[in-house]
Amino acid sequence: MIKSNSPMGFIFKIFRPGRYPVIPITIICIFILLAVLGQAIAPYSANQIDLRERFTPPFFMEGGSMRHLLGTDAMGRDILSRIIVGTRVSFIVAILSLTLGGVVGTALGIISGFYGGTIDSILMRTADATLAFPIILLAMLLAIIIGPSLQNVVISLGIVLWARYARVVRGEVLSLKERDFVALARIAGASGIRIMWKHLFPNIRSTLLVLLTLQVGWVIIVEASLSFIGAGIPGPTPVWGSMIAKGRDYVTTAWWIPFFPGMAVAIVCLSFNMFGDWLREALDPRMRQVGGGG
Amino acid sequence: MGDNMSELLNVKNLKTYFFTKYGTVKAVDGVSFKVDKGETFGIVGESGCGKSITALSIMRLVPDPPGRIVGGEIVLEGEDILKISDNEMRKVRGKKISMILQDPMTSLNPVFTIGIQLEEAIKIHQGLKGRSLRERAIELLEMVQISSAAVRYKNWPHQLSGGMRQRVIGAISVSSEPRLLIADEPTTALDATIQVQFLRLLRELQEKTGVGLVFITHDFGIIARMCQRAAVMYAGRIVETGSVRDLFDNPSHPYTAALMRSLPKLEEKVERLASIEGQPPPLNDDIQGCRFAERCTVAEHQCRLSYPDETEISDGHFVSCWKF
Amino acid sequence: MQRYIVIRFIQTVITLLILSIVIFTLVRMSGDPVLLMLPETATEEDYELMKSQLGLNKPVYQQYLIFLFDAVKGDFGKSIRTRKPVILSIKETLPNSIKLVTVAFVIGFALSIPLGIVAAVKKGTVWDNMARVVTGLGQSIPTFWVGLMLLQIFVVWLRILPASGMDTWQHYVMPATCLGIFLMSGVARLLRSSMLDVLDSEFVKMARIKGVRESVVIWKHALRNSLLSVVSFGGMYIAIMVTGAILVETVFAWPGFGRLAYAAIVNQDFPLIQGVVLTAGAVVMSANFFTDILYAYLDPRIRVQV
Repeated sequence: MIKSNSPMGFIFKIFRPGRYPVIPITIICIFILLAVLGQAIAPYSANQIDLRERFTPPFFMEGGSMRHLLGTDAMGRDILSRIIVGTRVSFIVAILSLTLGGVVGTALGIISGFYGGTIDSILMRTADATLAFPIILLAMLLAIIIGPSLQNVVISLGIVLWARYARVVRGEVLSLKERDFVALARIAGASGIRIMWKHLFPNIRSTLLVLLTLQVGWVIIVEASLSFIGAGIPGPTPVWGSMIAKGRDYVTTAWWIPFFPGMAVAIVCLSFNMFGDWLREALDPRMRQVGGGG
Repeated sequence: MGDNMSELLNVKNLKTYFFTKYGTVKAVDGVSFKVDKGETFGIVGESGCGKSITALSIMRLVPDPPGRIVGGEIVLEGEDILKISDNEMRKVRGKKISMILQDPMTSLNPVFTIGIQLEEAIKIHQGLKGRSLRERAIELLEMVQISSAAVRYKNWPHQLSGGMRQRVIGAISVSSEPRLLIADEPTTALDATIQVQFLRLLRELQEKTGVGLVFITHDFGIIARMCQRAAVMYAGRIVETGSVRDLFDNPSHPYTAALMRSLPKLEEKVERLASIEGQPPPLNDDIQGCRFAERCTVAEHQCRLSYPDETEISDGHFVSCWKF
Repeated sequence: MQRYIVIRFIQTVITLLILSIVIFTLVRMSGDPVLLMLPETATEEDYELMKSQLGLNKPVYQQYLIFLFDAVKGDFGKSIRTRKPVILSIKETLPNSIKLVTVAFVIGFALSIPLGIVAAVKKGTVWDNMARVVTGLGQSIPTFWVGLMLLQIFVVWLRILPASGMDTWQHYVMPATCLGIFLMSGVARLLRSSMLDVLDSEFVKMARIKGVRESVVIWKHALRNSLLSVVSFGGMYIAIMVTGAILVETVFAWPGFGRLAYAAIVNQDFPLIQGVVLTAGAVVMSANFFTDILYAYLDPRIRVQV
């Protein structure tokens, strides 16, 4: 058995449901702070080019200095500053696309589950088709037609997200519909819209919260992936994905250029996923199938 | 107490607890009863009283974690099956003890034909192969009155009705001619007419194979129809044991008496025991006294202090109540 | 079963038609398609020629039909940059991607099945927690970044694997592992939760009552049912793999479909990207169709209707 005071034991302890996930919450808070403050606390301007300082390795390596903690890129820009400023873009994309997908998906999911019948089958077939279609293709198409942009990324993500929300919400509504309070509301003569808004929606809020949390990480990864293949947010805005993409050319000489932005993505995603898992177990152990992932 | 030749199962002071993060749930807390060879013994009680956990404990299939058998003995034909290894226990299951579960709709694996599921049980314990295996399987299906058994044999569970599935499960359970068959509310999920059919079938199977039957139910009507003796369970304990006649004619524990009063007619099902005030206590509370005391109309001070010992009030009629 | 296949086939065709309409509309909405189709160096004559070729002076529905028939014939036009017919590039690269994805699928399932089973069977133990950590990391680390780091370690530092190309089995190691890991986390998590449901089911209890060995309970009774739910999500995994392939091929310069897509974006090569998206859509939809048939075949409840 692993003792709970050993480092590994501690990691396992955080992963176990029922305990408060202190580390993920702390990390999430730090990154939210970075996203809000951005350039204000970055040591350098994110786009400040200094060719004399190019390819400076991080401080712990030979030739590195405390002036650029995480080193500099091919144009001598400070990587730490770019990561800090890039946080905001990632969070904005996450907030916008989750809002878009969440609102549309929840509304359609409630309608689909509540009314059933033809509307339900059309909506659900569409959602299935959407989920089975690689969004990256859509984003690529949009990137060429309207040019790579933040809207493009948000639209592409929103299109996939609505389907995920609609599926889960519909499932919840189907089981809620059978419950007494909905039947009572119906007998009392409440209108469909009133039942959906006053009786169904409040009961799926915790599911939505879990789903939302679990998908922040996914959104950030996909956003980075799109930026990586050039279908994301264009430069010179510092974006984690395109920082990694640029670093690709220097991976043999300056590995730190792609390494640190990738770490930022991984840490943020892991924190949100762990927090979401914990939230799911804490709010309702039955929600095992409310998946993040993919 | 020496070994009785006619004794099949002797459960002594069985304790099965569940260790959850909300505390220890004493689902079965000191249950004792005996079943003779070829006898039908009923266990009756409200849902959540621990009767199903008692059954799973006898099978040694209590989900662990969180559950564990923490004490007692389960003596089957002179051998305490709580002391044998897991592997030996596996050989006891299906061969010496078998069980029929409540819901026939979910008790068969949807991706295998009923023939395969039936043969699996026969293969493990009897080592039959090929043709003789198949013949035995079809013979068993015929024994549980499945018409055109040779065709049904190739069917998947979803192609069968609930009553037929439960009969298939019956066939699986008796396939290796076990000494003891536990039926955990086997008819609750069936329609009324199918219930009667299935009960008749069970009795026939018992006559043919001489199996000892432990019948778990919440329905006194079924107890009256099926059993010679029965035990009444309340909150993890057996409160009264006796012949069915004793229980019906002379219900002595206040809980049994209340249950009897709540029966509108002998033949009707009792879903809710509405006539008894209050609820059974949560099983994670540490109760020193009688668990029924809070709902009992004749409870006295003594009842809340300690649990009453079992008293034999007439031959084979045991009651755990301070009144005696 | 036959009826099911026919219905699913018709649904697949309809979905493909919807996809083609979506793409057609997107292209037409975004402005002058001729400008998108033509390289920047094109002359006025090229423009007029292209316009009549595309039939842009005809009514919209005719334009769509022309677009559709061209697509069915595999005529996606020529690449703006290389002047090579798009269909040729697709034919050259698609098989390479299929090879890679196949190996990745094998790796992904070889990793995720034991992981999912162990996590479910040993629920709440150190094993389960370790599986959680592994799948959690797998879901949180960007694939392409893993690829870059593998390159750094195995090519630059250890010098034991080739950086790009696809000539020997060594070339497959990094890209296929990378893609396989991408797949693993999702499958392992899904398998764990469906295993937990199945292990909790009455028919598993029944198997134990029969005296079936625990290993047989897990590998025969429980796994078969749990894999069904994995197969039912097959379409999603194929979609995930296409995304993964585009990223991984870009990192490892794999001469496949994904890199073609990347090149198309970088060069703003519209005919190429249109061909790529339509082909990928068709591949994904047909793969979906086949996984659904596979699912129906594996699940007797669909295969043998009452």
